[in-house]
Amino acid sequence: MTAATDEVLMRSYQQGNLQALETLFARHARAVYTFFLYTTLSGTAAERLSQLAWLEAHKQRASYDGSQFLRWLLTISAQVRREHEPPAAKEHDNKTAPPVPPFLTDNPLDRALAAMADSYREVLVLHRLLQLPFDDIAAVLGATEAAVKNRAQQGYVQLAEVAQKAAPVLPVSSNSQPRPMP
Amino acid sequence: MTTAASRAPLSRCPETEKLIDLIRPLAPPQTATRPQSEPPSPAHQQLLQHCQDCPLCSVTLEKMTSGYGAFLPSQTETPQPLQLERIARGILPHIAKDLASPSRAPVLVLVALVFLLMAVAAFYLSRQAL
Repeated sequence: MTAATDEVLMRSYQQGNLQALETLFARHARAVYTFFLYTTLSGTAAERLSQLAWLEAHKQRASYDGSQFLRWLLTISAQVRREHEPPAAKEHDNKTAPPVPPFLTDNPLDRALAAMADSYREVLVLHRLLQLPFDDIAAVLGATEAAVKNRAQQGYVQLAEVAQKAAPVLPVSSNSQPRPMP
Repeated sequence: MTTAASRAPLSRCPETEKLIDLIRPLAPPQTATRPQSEPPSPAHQQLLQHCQDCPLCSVTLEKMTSGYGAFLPSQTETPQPLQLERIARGILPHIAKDLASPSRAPVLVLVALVFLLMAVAAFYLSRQAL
């Protein structure tokens, strides 16, 4: 069972095999949680939305068309987030006191990531943390590929500038030697 | 934090949008998790050359690569097994129960068929009575 691909497991799950779902959960629960954690900036919301996303995937399992499973699952997750996350929860809700994730603490880069516009941050999370290609990110978010590339560009440039301020020497070497701006 | 004024010149280069495709190949090996098995295509090489020659692109590319490298997955928050366990406990029993319950579709089809047969029978009986 564990050697089977996601798509085979999903077919089996569609036919009522709970063990197939458990394997899919073990493989992808972390990705779904990470997506929600970084888009809501709340551990509590990430847990709640993760549950809703898996339940919604269960409801929509008949609509799975054999495409890449993680992309399908994250597309549902993005829909769940749009539908179930109240606007107030998008702020750092100190009133409900969810456990503040460590990435919101003293690291300037993480603070910049948290302060970044949602639309940039969600693209960076999908691209960098979940390693999705841009066409998949576009499908997940219901946007054009050019739009998500643009958001990624703006997001990475913002992070680079924060990193540069935090450590004057750029941490990443490039194989090109840039010319100075005219 | 970057300002609109500092980003504005970057959009003057028509190649800028393509630069983002180069981030992963140019990321340092220790941070790129996907192996790069194929050499760059001629078009890719041409774009790389453009990036090295164009001042707008080279600055953008360096910044993007730097931002990509700075956002290290190893430094970020990841869910603990306890959190995943709580999520699993919240969904798996519900789904198991749902999968175990028999579908109502066959029953509904049977009921519909019975009603249809009764309607047909009533129709013929009423015609015979006339």
